[in-house]
Amino acid sequence: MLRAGAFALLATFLIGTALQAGEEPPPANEPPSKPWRPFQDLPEVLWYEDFDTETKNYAPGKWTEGAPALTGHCMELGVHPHARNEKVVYVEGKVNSPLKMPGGLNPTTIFIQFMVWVEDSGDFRFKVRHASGEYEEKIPITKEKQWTPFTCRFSDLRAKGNRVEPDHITRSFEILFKPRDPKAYKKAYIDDLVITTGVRPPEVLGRLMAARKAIVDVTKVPSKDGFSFSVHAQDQLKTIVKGNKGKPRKPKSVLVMGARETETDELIKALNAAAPKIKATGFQFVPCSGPDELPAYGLDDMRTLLPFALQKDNPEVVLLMLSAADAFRPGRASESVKVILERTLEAGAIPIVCLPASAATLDKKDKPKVDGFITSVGNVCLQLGVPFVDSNVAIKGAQNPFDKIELSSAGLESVGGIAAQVLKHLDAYLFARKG
Amino acid sequence: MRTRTSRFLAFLIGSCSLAPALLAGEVIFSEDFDKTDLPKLQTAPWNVTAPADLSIADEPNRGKVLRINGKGNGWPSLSYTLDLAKVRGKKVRVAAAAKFPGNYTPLAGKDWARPKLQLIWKEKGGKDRYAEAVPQPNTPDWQNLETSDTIDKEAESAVVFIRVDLVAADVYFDNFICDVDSDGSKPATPATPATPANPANPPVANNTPPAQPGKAPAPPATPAAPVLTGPAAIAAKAPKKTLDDGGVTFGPEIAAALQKSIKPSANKNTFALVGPGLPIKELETKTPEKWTKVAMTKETSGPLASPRNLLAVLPKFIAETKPEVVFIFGETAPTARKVTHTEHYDWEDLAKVCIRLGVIPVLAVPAAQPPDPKATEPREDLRAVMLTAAGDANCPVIDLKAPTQIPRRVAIMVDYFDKYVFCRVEPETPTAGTVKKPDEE
Repeated sequence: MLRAGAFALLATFLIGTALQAGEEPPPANEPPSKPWRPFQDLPEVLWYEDFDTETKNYAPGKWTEGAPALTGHCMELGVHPHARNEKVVYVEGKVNSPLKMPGGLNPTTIFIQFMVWVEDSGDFRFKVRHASGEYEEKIPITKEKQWTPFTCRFSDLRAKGNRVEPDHITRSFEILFKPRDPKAYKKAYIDDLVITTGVRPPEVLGRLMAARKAIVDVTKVPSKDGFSFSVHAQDQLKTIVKGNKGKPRKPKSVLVMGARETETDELIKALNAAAPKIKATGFQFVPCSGPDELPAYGLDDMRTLLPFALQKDNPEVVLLMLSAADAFRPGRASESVKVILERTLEAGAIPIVCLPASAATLDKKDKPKVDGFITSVGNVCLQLGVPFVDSNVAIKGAQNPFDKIELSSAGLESVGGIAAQVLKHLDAYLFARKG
Repeated sequence: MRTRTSRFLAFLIGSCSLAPALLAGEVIFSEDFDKTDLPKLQTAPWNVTAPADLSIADEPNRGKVLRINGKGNGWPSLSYTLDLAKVRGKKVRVAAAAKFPGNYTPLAGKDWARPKLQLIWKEKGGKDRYAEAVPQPNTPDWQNLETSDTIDKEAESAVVFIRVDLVAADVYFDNFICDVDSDGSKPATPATPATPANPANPPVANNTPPAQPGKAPAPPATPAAPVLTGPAAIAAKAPKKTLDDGGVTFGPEIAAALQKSIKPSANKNTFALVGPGLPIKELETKTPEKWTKVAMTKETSGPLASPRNLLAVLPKFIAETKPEVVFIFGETAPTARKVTHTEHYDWEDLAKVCIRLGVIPVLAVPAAQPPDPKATEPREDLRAVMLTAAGDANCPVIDLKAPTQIPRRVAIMVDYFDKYVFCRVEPETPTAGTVKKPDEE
């Protein structure tokens, strides 16, 4: 009896000590944070790639439009540098997101599926790398020149002395193809890569494609659309818009600030002409001015007078046009742009940046400066979720778009056309207004 | 056909007679373009940008000179990369003669786009520092340009230029000289007693005159050292003050820059106090003689006036109250407001928006805060942040370290403005050491 009591006491002490020594449990009133997923509304989807938007995440694959893809794009596997005797092709996908896989999930419930198309039959391998090793699954593909699914469970992955553990975290994965005749490179393509947990990929594919379509609709790529916008940007900017509920800004009011004195008026003229053509109606374009009602323009005024103009005119959106000459200013001009954008967002307005264009007439030594400035400002915009117009793309097709190194009236007209499209896009997806 | 030795002697003679300052140091280079051609100037440490715009031209009574005929679409320049081992921790002076008979069209908002003599050096960490002198357009005579700066001991690069930035302009340069002065002594500035001119539109003066090396005897067409007159000469007389020497920063460069920014529309002898560091009780009771303080508002002073908020409301306040001077106060006591790592831009832009609206800004900088032993991460120090901003905006500063001294420093500062910026009080007039109480007004 006494021994049993002592044992119980000892057990209570040991359990108590173990609890204290372990990780502190989260407070009862705070639910554990949800694990990261690429689609918030589809927690069972860990990874999805349809290759329909250009991506550089699958090196050395080649993003391919058209055949053999039935619609859109697919990814051609690239040459493996360390397999000279065997002509292996492959792509490597790096996990750049906060995704943890398996990361505590049961590996038997994780399903991997992608479509493959091969010129010659051979073996496909799906290889996963984690912090302390790697494992893979190999599946022979016998059907040539047609799309065939490759399907396996995460728990199927194997390697000598290395097996899947639930606490492993995938850092990257490779998809490799070794043709039946390993002495000649054979073309191999992949498409629709899906990794799910709890359900098999076909069960979620319908909802997944709908969610993906919504993302594709929101996403705008400079090289294709002339401006940049993304789901990430939309999420960041929605927080700003929601924060304005107490003191809303004037709907459809756009403050316009050119890089040069005459540019603001030219931009407004271009916007007024372009907006009705794309049914972007109801916008009011206001030229930026200082307390003396004189025009405010250029990077210096954006830093000194824009906060005042935001207070005075209370616009919903601010259109900021940068100049190629800004690239030659003392100091880091992109830092100035970052400060301007941060202040604008903090004030509750949505900035749109029109990047300068890089004139072909620029001196050999000057062109890299302008191009570097354009890249750095683009990166600042991406980081802050700010939409930007790529003027180099916008002026394609414009006649005489440059006046020396700056945009001419024709160039500004083209930029204004794209800027009007940005406004319409924000209206539909950020402000969720119809018509 | 002078020999190198005779040219150097001539340089010394010329230096002795015309610019004693350039005699003190070691000459890094002296280029008169008489025996050189452009290809030679394209090899390190020399460099030429947009060579099509540069040429060597014959100038009557002067020999060969460098012509930069900028077309307005680039940055044609001749530059010389300085050996850091020779210039670190030393004062570098650059001079050139320039002739600018024509004119150019300034680019709106880009005052820097023009012909100039320039020294650029890079601080540790990559920040560029600039010193420059500009030739005046529509001037058929040769002008002397000179500028100088002390290169930091950890500077990463230093380059001197003669250049024409972005504008179409046809300019001639000669006697491009650079020397280094290890003792950091200030170059002599020959200036005649000046008569206050129209301070709202002061003539842009050249800096101290450079030597005319390698050109002895000087031809009649070459002018002697220029005589500075008007507000520029008065600005050049401004006392060089640092925070360690009187608790204010001021000097000829600041005075000259402020002269260019002031506008006649301001109410004479009025100043405003703004910023989150207010109220300061020492300033409640005392104001400088002959100056009037404009009424403060809750948006522009006190806790609501954080630098970013102030940036949004200050332009309207200035437009309505029209002060000549705005003192911008940082917080002297710890507050809940956290100083951010980009805050120096806010203070810099507060100073610059004043300048943009024709008002003189003064940043009032609190004492450094003692380190917080409980802090888990490094904290931005407001004093350091504001001093960086003042440097970038090239605006004067007063130190708030000793509260009892604040009214006196405000009085000293407005006295300097009266003398060296507005040029309405003779510089020789003793500085007012006392301040009046409001009820004496």
